[in-house]
Amino acid sequence: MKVYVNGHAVFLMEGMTVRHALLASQFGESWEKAAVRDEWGNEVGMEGALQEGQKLHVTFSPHDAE
Amino acid sequence: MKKLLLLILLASVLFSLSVLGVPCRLDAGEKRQIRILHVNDFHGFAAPYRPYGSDELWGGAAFLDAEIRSLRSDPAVPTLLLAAGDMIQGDNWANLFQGRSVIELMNAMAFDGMVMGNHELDFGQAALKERIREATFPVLAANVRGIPGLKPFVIKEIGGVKVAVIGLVTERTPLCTHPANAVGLTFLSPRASLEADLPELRKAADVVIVLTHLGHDADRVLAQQVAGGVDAVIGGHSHTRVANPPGIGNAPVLQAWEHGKALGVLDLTLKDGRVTAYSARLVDVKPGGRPAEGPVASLVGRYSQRMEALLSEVVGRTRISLNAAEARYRETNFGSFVADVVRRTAGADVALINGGTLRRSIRKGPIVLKDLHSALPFNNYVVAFRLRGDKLREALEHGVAAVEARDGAFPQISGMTVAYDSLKPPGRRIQRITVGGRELESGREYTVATHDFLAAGGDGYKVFGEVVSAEDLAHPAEGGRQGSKLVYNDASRWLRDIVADTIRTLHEIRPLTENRIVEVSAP
Repeated sequence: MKVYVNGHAVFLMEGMTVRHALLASQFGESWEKAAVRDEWGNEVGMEGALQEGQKLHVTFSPHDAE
Repeated sequence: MKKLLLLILLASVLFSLSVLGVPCRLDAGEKRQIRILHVNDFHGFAAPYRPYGSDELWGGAAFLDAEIRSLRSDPAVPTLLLAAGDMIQGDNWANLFQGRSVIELMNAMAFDGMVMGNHELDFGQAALKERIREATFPVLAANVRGIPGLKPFVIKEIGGVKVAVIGLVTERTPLCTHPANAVGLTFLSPRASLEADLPELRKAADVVIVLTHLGHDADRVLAQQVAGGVDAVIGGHSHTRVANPPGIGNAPVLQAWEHGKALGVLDLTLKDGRVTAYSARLVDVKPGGRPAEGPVASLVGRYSQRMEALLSEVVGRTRISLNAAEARYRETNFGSFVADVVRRTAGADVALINGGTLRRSIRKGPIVLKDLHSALPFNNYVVAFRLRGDKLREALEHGVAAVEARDGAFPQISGMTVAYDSLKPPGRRIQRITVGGRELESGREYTVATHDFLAAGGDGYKVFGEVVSAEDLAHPAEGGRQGSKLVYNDASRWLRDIVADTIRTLHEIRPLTENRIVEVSAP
């Protein structure tokens, strides 16, 4: 299954969630500090299910980025 | 004869009405308001908790119940309470009772219906059937065949308004649970199932609610596909906090985040027997310094006490201390034991987990379930895939690349041995690898078991993540599914539960280090 994290494609196994998408992306271990939204700006939980082609947008608060 | 025919006709009309109900007969111009409350993906989070990045407590069944009771208190606004799936599995509070605690909670909160989520199958079909039997509300899934007690839809009358609620669950459910959980079940297309039942529901009810466990993206597509045919799509699965719900085909598409941290509120206004207006919002659920009170709080407390008792279970004994403290820089007996469990569970040639999986050592003597929860605190599950020998070597090179830093990536292994030289530069440290007593063959495929964290590329194991991407690019329709490169993928059981079951079966363990990982430069 292919999903996009901040525009970059990541590939996941069936049943993997938002948390796995972040692990597979450039954000790696910092996933715990991330705020994740879908393409419509809705916040999504780390255990949220994904579907083929889904787009996620990850941001970090300025405090966490330091 | 005429009398008999009339009687048969009358009986069949009465039967039809009893099954389908009679459409509401609102007086011309009469307005009614009804309210639908909804939650999804509760996952047994009965107690409030601090989500990552938050200093505040969120959720808590007692506080969710308080919001529900408050919103139900206006007799002029009749209310339905619905759940959009994945309610009974997740937190210990649910798992240790195979979801029974959650069903009791939902009964106490007077839920009117729920759709089955994919995780409702995680304890197996027998447990799910039992939960359905215990529920005082219908469990719905119009697109699932094979589970007795499951209903396609329900029609409820509230305040003189007939509301049909039809349930739909993701048809990908069998792909991400243990195969045994889905044996004999058929998952049909959600859209086709909805379209098959919709004409009947529209005839029988004033309002049609689609209660799904498909994910918000899929809900939006579904709403478009049946535009004008339904009055709301209330979903779960993607854990989406839909604060500003879109209206698609005149129907709001809603979802209320996760873990009871939000309560969805949908107010519908009806005129002349059809919905003419809606408003939707999410109510945050937080304790806000209040104590948990009332019957739901008592129920949560009762099960929490039972949970503590169950966590005190002695699952077996270890005749030797289980070493997690050194798992980040050398082979340990605990690491090898867990890696063995992972390999055997998946039936793989080899297993590799990261030392960071193990968080606490266990002293020799009785092993209490709570010890295992502390030692293996992460909700990891077992996966396995086919990997070429050279790629396995690459994974092991990564595992020992930062051994000096004692980070969590250091491997604990099963079914193979590794010799490495920490004085060599990272990426060129592996001296020798054997699998099943034979030298590793670079071009040969091996089945490699690990857990989902590493399979996704966690702790820098990008080579594992690349297995899926390579397969996905080659065969997009099969990528990520079992049967391609992926040979085992059971998200329905946590690794710690499998370890606990293994120890229960063995009664007593005495795992030793066996020179599976040898540092050749060590003095």
